[in-house]
Amino acid sequence: MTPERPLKIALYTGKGASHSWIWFVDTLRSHGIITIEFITDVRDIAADVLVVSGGDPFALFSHIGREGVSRMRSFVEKGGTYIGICAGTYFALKFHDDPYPWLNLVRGEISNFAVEPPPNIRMPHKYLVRYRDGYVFHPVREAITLNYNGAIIQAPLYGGPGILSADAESQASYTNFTPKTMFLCEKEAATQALLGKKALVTKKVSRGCLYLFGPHFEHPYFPEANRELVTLLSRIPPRGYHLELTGSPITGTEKRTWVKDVKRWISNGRLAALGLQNFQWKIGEKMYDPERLAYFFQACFTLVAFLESQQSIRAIPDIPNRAQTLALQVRKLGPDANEAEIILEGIKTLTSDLYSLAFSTLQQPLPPQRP
Amino acid sequence: MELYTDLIAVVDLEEGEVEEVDIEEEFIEKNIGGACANTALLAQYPDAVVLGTGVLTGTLFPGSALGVMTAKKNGTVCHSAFNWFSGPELKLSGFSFVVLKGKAENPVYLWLHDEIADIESTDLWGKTTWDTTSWLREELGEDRIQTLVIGEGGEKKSGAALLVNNYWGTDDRNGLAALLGEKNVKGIAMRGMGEVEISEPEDFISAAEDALTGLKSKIKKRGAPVEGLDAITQRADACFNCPYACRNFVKTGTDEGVVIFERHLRDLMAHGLDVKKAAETLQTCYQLGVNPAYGKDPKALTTLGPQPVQPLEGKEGWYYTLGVCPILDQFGIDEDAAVRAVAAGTGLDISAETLDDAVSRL
Repeated sequence: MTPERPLKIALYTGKGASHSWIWFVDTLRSHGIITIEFITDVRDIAADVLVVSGGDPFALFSHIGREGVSRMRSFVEKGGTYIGICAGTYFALKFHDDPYPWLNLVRGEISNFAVEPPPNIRMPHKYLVRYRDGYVFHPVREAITLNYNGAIIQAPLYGGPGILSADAESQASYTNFTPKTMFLCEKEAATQALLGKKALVTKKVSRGCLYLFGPHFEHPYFPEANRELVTLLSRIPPRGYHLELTGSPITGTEKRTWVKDVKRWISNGRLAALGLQNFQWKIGEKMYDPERLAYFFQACFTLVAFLESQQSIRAIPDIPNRAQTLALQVRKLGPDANEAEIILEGIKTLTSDLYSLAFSTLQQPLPPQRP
Repeated sequence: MELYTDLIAVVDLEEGEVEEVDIEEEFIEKNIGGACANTALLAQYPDAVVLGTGVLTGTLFPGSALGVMTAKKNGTVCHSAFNWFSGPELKLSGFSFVVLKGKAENPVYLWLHDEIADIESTDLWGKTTWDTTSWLREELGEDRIQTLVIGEGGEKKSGAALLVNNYWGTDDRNGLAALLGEKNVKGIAMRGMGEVEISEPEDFISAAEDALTGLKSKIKKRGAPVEGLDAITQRADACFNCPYACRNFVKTGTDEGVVIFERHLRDLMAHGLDVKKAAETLQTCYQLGVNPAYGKDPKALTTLGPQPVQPLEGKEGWYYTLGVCPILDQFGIDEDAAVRAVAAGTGLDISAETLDDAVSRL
């Protein structure tokens, strides 16, 4: 008898995805969930859950197109669960009379859309995103208090919506600010835009389901929110999807050489990313900075350290060369947003590959024991 | 091993290979660190140049900026010190000690980062120390990289060769920069993102605080006490975690200046230069990588013949072993606090006597 397969999660890491998917992976990993597939192509989602986390929904749509949207809809209609967080939530919400052709599976107004948004008081590059005849504005950032199914918890907000009404069930609402909340507009306007509004809604669509989060429950500094997210995932019944292991097994000198080469260039990339000037690159509709690149390199460095500590690991042969190329590109990176985007996409792919290898290493069959 | 990052890099310049050796507890228990540990490594690798960090280098203990370079010169083991931020940077690169053995066929530089030691061939030979540091930082993409480099003095194996840290002179009183030149090593670039573990953190911090409080009550000055120097000083800077800002920065042009190492400035003034001219000349000395102890003409110093070994003086061996700058000796550093910090930091049974015994072997 085949043992029941665990929940399989497809995590979108392609264009438009920011770095917050790393929080999602690390949080799940810390709760023992490592059956995660990292995808950039949404045309054939073979998983129980599809997660679209923070980032830029415009860039996401420009990458996956109408066909990708149609495949996502089909995924949900056939019984899949869509989890949208921040950008992933906007992508699934139909909040305008003339919406962009995104997923639009949940109808609902949002409280942070306005033709004339309140005046901005700090971080102008993080405040507004144009949408049709108006703007999506981001009243606050950082920790905010929520009522989640009757429990008071905190989670950070980095641009996610306040949902006014929706053809969906509310599971959480914004109840208060915290001492760590950073106001991007006056507190009164932020209060009006957010407090009492829905922060998490869920809706059944055909055989599937959507969970749309405004705040980042997956952020690693918010253990209560993390637990609620994991609990929510635990209630989704697995449908028996198989997760292929990534890479090939290597050990001994071959492993040491491979790890050393990867580590060398990830280290070089990390140091160069930390040494970049204070550039800002506009990629799609979102502003990126060197800290974001460094975040990915740091995640890679941690993963390489994990692989270094294992006796037998899974490896992909060309990763050292890819890491080298990226490190050399970062060293020469200037204010050019196109060059920054190439590196960003490259380091995202490398990060997701290293996560896959780390998780595959943990899941690979143990070598036979000598009697 | 607490208070150290884990590795010794044994760099075979001839073969272009690096062996990483774990630092054993017994090695530190016996040799503590810095000059003492370097000397022990030199016994294993007699033709080598050894760079090492003291047991307290790169920690919260005040003045813990010191790194030590050790090699045999005319058959005598001798030491030179480097500080600023290069001592801590070396340790936090993952290599608390580096052994450079053999000779590279062509000029190279060493790049130490995140427990990786890369030997890179280079066409930097012939460049000034300033151009070399700027090039390394540009090439490796990080301005916070610390460098130990040689200039024309080291390349020509001058008796007055001086190791330069970034752009400024070190206390390379034994001209060990010339030995790097002999080995075809133009420089060492370091970036440290590592961490050191502390065995008993509360006791360690308490000892470091005691030492700092004692020093702060006695340090009443900034900059080097050289007559006329204050008038041309733009600011006084301190090395890593040092309560005494002993380094005067003197502007020598619109966009240029020099960080003064007191003894070097006094040497030039002893050669008859006024303080302003001495500062300007010192800048050229640092660019060429030569020590003004031996004369006031920087260019002439690049071809000076062999000079006698300058042994460690007074308590210097103690400081060079701990990795604490001996300039603090004038303020009567709390030696008991230093020993307590070593014991609490390493978790080893190291007493004042153990330390003195190790230092006595220098």
